[in-house]
Amino acid sequence: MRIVYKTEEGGVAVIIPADTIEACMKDIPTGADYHIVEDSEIPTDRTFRNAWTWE
Amino acid sequence: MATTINADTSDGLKLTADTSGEIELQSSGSTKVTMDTSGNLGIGTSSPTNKLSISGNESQRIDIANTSLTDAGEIVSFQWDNNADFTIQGRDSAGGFKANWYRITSTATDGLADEHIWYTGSSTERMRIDSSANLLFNSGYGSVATAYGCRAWVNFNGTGTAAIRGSGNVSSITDNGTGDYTVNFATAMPDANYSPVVTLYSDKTGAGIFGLIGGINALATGSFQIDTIASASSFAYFDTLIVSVAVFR
Repeated sequence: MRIVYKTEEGGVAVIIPADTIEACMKDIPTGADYHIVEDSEIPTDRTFRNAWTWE
Repeated sequence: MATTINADTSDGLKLTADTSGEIELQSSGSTKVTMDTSGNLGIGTSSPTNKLSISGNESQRIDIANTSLTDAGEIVSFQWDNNADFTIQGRDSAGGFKANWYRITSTATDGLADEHIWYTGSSTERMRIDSSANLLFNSGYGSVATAYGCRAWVNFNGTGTAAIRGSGNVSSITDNGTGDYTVNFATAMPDANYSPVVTLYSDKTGAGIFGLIGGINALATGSFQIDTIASASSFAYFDTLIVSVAVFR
């Protein structure tokens, strides 16, 4: 599982848990619009990583 | 008070005080051992407050001997001395130190523990917790010295779908973009004056990659940021196969 949220700069940040999703909920910036997704939903091709968006 | 000494074939020898009395053993004209009406036994005290109360000066200890050992005089002793130091030690028949021993040192005025010291052999100090709560030991340092611990660590893959291989005191890694990550602590640091060490490895060769640089910024109690950069004809953010991080403070 991963947590995805939009950054203030308009990009996408992905939180990778070291243990459980619950333990890293604190790592989501306050007020950020986040989503919990499966690992498979994250692209493996990072060629244009900084151009990622989340709809 | 009535005291009786009775002996019979079923109960053996019994020394009996009446219900209001205690039993004392005397030598040289004074009481040395007292058993009160509650069954508390006092050695060196006529008012035992526990099942066994022993009272004496610095030279007196509680000794437990094992006569089956090679040195028949080997003894484990417990001592609470006039400096309010508490010691557990092994001694041989000559009174010298024999085995590993342990001492809690205290100031005589407050009796509270200031240091905990572990020794081996005759009197070689091996480990100590000092009055500032520092842990000192000799693990190849050459002497007993304060050990400064790694407060957090993580090994992660910064390529593909970034993934953590192993970690300690790290709740997560935030993938902010190419070569841009945040390390989030499970338990926050006491301040932001810690020292992260970052090393990188990439399996990419050629393509103008001459070296990798791991930069740090935005140090806060709960997290800090890592920039992984490849130095080629220009410096550019770069995803690396292994990002290894250790945080000391």
